[in-house]
Amino acid sequence: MRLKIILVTAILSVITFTSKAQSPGYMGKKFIVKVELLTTPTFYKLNDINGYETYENVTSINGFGFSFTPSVGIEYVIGKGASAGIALRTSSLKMPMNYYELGSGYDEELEEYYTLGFVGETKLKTKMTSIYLKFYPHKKRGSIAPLGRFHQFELIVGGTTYQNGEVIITNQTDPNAQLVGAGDYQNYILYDDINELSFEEKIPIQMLKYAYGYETIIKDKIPIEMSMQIAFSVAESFAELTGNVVSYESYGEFLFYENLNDRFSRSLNITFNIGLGYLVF
Amino acid sequence: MRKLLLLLLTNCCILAASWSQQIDFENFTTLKSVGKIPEDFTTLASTKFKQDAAEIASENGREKADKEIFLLESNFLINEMLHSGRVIFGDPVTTYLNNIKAEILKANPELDDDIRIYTLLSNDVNAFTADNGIVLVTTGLVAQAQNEAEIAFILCHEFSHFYKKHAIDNYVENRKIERGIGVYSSLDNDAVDLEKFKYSKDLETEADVVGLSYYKKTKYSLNAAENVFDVLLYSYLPFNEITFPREYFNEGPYVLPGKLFLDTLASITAAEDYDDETSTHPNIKKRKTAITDGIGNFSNDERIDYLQDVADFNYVQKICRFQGCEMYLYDIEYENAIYQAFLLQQEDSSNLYLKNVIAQSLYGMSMYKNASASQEWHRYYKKVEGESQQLFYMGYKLNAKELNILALKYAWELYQTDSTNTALYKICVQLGDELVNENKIKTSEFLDAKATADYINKFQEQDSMSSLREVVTTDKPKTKYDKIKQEKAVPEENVEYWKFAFNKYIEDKAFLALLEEDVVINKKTKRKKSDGEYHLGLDEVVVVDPVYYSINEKLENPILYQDAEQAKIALKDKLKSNADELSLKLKYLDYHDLEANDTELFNDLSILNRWMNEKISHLGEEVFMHTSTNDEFLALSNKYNIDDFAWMGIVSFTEEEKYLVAKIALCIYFPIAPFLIADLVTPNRNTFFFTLVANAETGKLTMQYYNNTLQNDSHAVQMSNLYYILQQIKSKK
Repeated sequence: MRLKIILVTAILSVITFTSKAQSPGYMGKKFIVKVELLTTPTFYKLNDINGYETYENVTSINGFGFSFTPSVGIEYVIGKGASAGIALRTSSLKMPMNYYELGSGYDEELEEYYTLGFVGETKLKTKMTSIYLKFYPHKKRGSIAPLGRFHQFELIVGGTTYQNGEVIITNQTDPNAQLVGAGDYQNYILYDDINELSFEEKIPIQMLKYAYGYETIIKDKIPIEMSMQIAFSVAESFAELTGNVVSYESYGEFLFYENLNDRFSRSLNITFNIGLGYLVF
Repeated sequence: MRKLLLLLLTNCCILAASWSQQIDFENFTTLKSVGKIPEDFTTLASTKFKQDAAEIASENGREKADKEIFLLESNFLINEMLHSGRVIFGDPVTTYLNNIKAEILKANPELDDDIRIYTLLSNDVNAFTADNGIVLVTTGLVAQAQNEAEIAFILCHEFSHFYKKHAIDNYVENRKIERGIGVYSSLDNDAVDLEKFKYSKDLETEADVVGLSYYKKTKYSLNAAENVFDVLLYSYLPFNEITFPREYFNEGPYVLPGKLFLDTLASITAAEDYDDETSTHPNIKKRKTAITDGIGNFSNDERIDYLQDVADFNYVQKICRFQGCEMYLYDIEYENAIYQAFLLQQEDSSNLYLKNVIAQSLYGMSMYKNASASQEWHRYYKKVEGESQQLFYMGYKLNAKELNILALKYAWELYQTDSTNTALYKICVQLGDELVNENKIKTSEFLDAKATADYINKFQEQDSMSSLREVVTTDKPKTKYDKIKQEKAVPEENVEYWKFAFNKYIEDKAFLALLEEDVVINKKTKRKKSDGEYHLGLDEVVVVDPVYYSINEKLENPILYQDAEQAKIALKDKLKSNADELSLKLKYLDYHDLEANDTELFNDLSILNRWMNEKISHLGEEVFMHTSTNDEFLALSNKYNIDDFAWMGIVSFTEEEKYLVAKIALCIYFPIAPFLIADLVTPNRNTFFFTLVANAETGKLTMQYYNNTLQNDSHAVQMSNLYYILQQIKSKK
């Protein structure tokens, strides 16, 4: 974490000091403290686990909702046509109910095979740090940062942790649980805590984001911005580049990561953002 | 009675104040306003509009709407004219005109109160009447009028325009014609225009008739009412027709060759009975006839041309003719300026101001020719009639080098007699620079006194200088082949008359300093900013009367006058708060801040705006030269103790949606529909910011900044841009 902060600070310092001296900012003020809310509507498919339609009466999650990703950050105007910033973002998401199969075993006392698994909802908590550059097309549109339309390019890095959601199925005799893995095995051992599944505790997040938006300032002090963004995960490419490709212990683990990435990406893929700031100096 | 005495006393005071502004014709400067500023100049146009609109509040319908539009536009345009730096009050000319007005309307005090006359600095021979009672009379009209009575008739004509409300009537009727209402239905485009001209002519005829009725009530000569039309007919000519001598610029062996002059000048072609179908006024013959008929048997006994002292007329006319030189320089009509000065020299041949006008004009002609811009600006000599055509031809035929030499020679010789004239010295310096760096002339190419004497002796031996000149100048070839042969036959050295230009000064160190090759003072590159930004490093600046325009193409009446006026008033605080942020001292001069006693400030603003307008005219042609009013600009700089002056402006522009139908049609393609809808609902707004900063000491523009931002003119956008502009003024490299 300390390394990240040093890296980000170094990058911003280089950008700041190598930028042209004459950056007007807004009435000479270039340093902005900002809060931002990224929001996107999300549609869940609640009743589909491994092809079996179930749990629609059990889940605590609505089929449609909004994902919110709040952030706080600082931004510095580095020229007539650009500003740079860092932001700390956090998101709390719910993953719909799913079944993660970890493998099977043989109970010698009962002389029967059993299946290990987890059935339930999951909560995801993600903390992200991002650095970004915003370009205000000074030459083409005559904008002077931080006013007017902008193009924002952002690198988001962070990690997601998870914990149990509202609904966890622990009893295989639960009428709903009976349908899990129907036809293969009759006996299940279902975990009651997802953290007991020995999955990776913190899943790394790396995303690239592009946003197009408009920024104005009211009362000569308060910047307001609106933007729309698209973001996509580069975790896989990043892992391949760094040689840290994850190997999955089980199909359940693979499925968990797939669901997690899908859920997280959906919360940032296309979002509508609104930000509010304060021109400090 | 007391009221009358008070009025008389006030009039006497005004008269005394204006006549006390005795004009120094040796050091003539543009006329200045005198006395308290009339309310016409200090009242906001929106206030005037509201007052005028209240008078038609009881009316209704489309005609009322048309009238409101007219009142809005006319009030703002007149205010713009009043603040252009070309309209003056309280000066001798305006006072003289108001005395004529008082004479005409002495039996009509109500009309006398309603009409206010001001002088418009222009060489056009004209007068205008606004619907609110403002009458502008040009200095050109006074300069050309033959007597006081002629001016009186013109004023009578203008007063009747006001009395009959012709301006607003014409506007409303024109709208009816355009819409094809009533008798105007089923007119095609050409017929619409002709109908407008016809209606305008009807109003002018009525103004002549009603004007004559006013005029008859005065003691002015009825002959003047007819003769004044001659003044109008020949108004495109200078105030006199005197042959401009070919030898005017000659001195010793420096003799301009005959090929620079026309043997036959174009005759004057103006006719009274011209086709006036597409004119706003009836032709002169019709007007004259109507006036003659109107006079009928009316007695001209005891009627005279002058009710004021003739000397007053001559004095005022002389002022207007001198002012004409100023306006010709200002309007970049250099040949006309020389000819006007030449005409005035007939009565005052040693007048220093007139010589300066000629020096300035030659300088301007040379600079324009060096920049290859002269053909764009100067009238082609074939389009000029009368004696002044000689000067247009000379200017056309002289090549850049010859003109440059002539201009420098004239200016330098004048400077020798008036060495305190720093403006003239600056002109000499620039002409010297142009000669060396643009026309690539070396000092060694000019002949000194000894070489000149040898040269003359050589030709005296062969023949004589006079015969030499004859060969060069007067031996006219009959055909083009003869001409070519003759030109080849003449030794080249014979036609290089310009080599004699500086034989008196070629050993003068001060003169030679002008021709040093390493003195490059006016290169365009110096004006370029190095990194896309300016860093003037100034601590204080004077902001001169910023402009603000707001235009919305989507509206039927696209110019948002009232919004722009309010925005301009608010601009002052915005500039000041930004200047405070930057610790930049800012002095703000604006017509909107003027109060009745701020006449000096009014005059300052007039000088500054005229200076900048002339500068912009030169810039438009990429001619980088000193303006004719540099001296006055420098004096103002000394007065305010600030060297740098900034002219700023904002133009907010909302464009119509382009390709509207195509965009709506494309919306059926779902994926791009959101983008197209977003584009359609977002207004296409631009805000254009510009700033020009001039340094009075050098007379140059040190900053020419423009930013066209594709945003609306919101408070934030304005503040952001204004800060950036002021930052560039303040910051050092």
